[in-house]
Amino acid sequence: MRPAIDQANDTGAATLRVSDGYGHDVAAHGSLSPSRTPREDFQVTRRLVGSTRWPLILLTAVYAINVSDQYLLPTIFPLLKQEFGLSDTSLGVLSSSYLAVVTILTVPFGTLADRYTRTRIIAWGTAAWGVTMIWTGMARGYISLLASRMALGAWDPCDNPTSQSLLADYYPVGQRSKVMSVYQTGQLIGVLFVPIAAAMATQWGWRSAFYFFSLPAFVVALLAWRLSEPVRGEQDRREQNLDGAVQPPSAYDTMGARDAYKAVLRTPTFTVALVSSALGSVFFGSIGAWAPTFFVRYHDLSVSQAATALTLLAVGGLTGALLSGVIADRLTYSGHPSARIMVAGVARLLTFPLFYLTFTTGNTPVMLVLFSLAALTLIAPQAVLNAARADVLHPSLRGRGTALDAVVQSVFAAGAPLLLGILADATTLRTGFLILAPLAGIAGAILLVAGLPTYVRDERRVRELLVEEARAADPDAVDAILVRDRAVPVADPDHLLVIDGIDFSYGAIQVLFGTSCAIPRGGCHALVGRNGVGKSTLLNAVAGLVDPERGRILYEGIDLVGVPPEQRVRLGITLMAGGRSTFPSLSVHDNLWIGSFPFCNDHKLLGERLGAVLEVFPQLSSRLHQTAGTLSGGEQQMVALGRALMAGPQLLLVDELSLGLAPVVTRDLLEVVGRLSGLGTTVVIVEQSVPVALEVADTVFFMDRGEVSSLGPVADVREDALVERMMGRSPS
Amino acid sequence: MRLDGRHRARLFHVVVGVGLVVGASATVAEIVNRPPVRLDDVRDAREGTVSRVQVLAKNYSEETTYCVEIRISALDGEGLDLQDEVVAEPRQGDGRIRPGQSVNFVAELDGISEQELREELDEFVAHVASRETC
Repeated sequence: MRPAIDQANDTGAATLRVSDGYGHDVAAHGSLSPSRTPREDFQVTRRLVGSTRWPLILLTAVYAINVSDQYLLPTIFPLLKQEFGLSDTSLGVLSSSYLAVVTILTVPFGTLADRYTRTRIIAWGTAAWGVTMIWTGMARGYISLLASRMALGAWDPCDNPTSQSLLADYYPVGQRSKVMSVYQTGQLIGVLFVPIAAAMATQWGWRSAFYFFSLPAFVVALLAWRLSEPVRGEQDRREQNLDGAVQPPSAYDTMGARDAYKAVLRTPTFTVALVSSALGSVFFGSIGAWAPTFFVRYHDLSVSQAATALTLLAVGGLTGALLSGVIADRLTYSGHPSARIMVAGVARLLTFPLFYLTFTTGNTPVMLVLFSLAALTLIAPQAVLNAARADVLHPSLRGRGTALDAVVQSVFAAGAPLLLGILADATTLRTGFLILAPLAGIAGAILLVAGLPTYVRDERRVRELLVEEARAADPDAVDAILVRDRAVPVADPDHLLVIDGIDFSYGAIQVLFGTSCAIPRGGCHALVGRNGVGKSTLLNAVAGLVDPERGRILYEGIDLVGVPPEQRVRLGITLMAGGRSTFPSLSVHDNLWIGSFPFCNDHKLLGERLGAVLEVFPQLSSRLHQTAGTLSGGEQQMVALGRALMAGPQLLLVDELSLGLAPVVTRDLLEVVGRLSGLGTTVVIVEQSVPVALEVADTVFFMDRGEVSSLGPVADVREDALVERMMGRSPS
Repeated sequence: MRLDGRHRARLFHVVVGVGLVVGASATVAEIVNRPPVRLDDVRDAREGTVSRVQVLAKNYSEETTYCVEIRISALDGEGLDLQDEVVAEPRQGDGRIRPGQSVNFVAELDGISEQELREELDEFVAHVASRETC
């Protein structure tokens, strides 16, 4: 049986003795308590974002490159005028024709994004963009230049609706705001390319800038070609555990463009967000065009100072975009389902007083600080609204939704400078701003009053629609999933770990068949079974070394599927793998140190923890600099266990501790495991040896053919009956 | 004609490959083939609403003498003219620039209002409107 805590007190391991099981005394003495691993920095970052950020980075880069041209053209206007002898009107036509083509073609590109392979649309569009940049650089006359600009406008919309639709399918629903906010920074990063282009144009001529900017476009096009195309709605189905069901067709896939756009507009939350964005764009457009004049006229800044001050809009916007995404996702995760709309609405609401103060204060430094904050709240809602729009639209309508939003924003932002100009002429520029400022507040109020109630309803409607579509394709599978989902609570106060219907195969050989079990909080739990039934695979699945094909693993209510192994360690899950799982070429010290990586910056804690491990295994003290491969089998297992303890696990998974060890060594190790579980760490130990399992465990689980059954407390388990069961005979 | 997936992929890679080569070559060509007469930074001084703008033109060629016409523009933040371009005159000589020599050109712009100067003027820009051997 597992040694009692008071027995452990007699070992002389000071750091282990003083615990009340999970208490602070232990922590104060630098012990191996699971509570000591700093986990406050941990974020449940799924595999796609945590370790495969690539699609997000690439699509953000595409966005940045795509928008850079919009900023590039005005910087080379003087050079174009010089070379082609153009009038201002001709230059205006260059800009306007480009914007007109973008606006006209955004809507059809939205349809393309919903119907065809999105990664290919982006790859071809970006490559065509690069070709057109070269064409622009080679233009020898105004007509050629104009034609190239219009062609460039044709490729511009290939990016935004398509990328947002893709991102919604690449990354989990719970991280959609954050992902969209990172993507949103592409628009602001594009501004950073302008000084490079301007310097090139000044130094080597305007053509060099166009030629040069074609190069990154070709590179990202090539990389986009290699992106894998996610299944449309994949993350939304995954959120509902429908990813294992047959991929169903949707009525929207074959719907005509007009009907599809009508369906988009019939989504109340989308329409509310659209109206809010339109009002926000009026204000945004007027700020971008007239703020420098305001700085000069009312704060006596020079024109160049005013232009520099306008960069606060970009800095504030960048901060706002990132912050809003993080806040919205955190709030959603904390149980506020409408957080995305709420964050966007509150931000827009705050924009009004901040800009009101910006335009009324006479103190220039205060005005600039207020302007930055107002810019933050002005731009913050965009990314979260993009995420919310993806939530409330069917996956096959998202491209069209984004396209519609982009067109409306462009049109309203384009008309805004004229509107403010008229107001300024009729009154003053300050009064004009003060007349328009309430629009931002109204945009926020609309979101909060009209968007909050509709969002939950619309989002649920999309979920239900996805279930209906899946059920139409495979009713049995979907019903089985729904029944299973109802059977397992999301967060279980009594159980630390809930494994729910996971399947796993090594190639064609399936090992886990809908495996389910619930591990109680605290204590030591043995998982026994014959060789090859999937015990180690189950532990590996919990540790994140293998990915189940379906099912859920809930740890403290968190679904671990998709969470990378290293982040599971930060969550408190540590695996001591089977066999001699040391790094044989590394020293004992380095082997132990590797286990402490979740808090490797906390040198004090690292030292305490190392000291505690060496108190538990004093044999290792004199061998710290010896390579682990030269140790005996028992000592290597001590190193492996010590390494696991260095992480301060809350859940320790031990795979075949006794394998190949002498009984006396096994007993020593078991004693440590037992003491550890007494300190509050939940231990799951996989063992083939029944006596070993029964010696250390509080409860026993039996695994056979990929299925787990609980045999209850160890006191109720007869060793001979368990052995017979393992031999494949019915217990007598 | 409808291409299958493999041919589409091949076409895409050809487009990208050719684009990369052409883009890189054209960039290098632009950097290497610079005009022989180049202008230095534009400097300006103001008296009332009259702006006196000066720019230095240098002939980088080793053998050829050039006669150039230099024009000055006053631009707002969006790159649009605040007044018509003005032809700059050489401060000394007849505007002939010998190999390796530099010549200052000066222009006076007086068509910009005080409000435009204060609120809209972003920069003065000079460019070589014509260049001939002489």
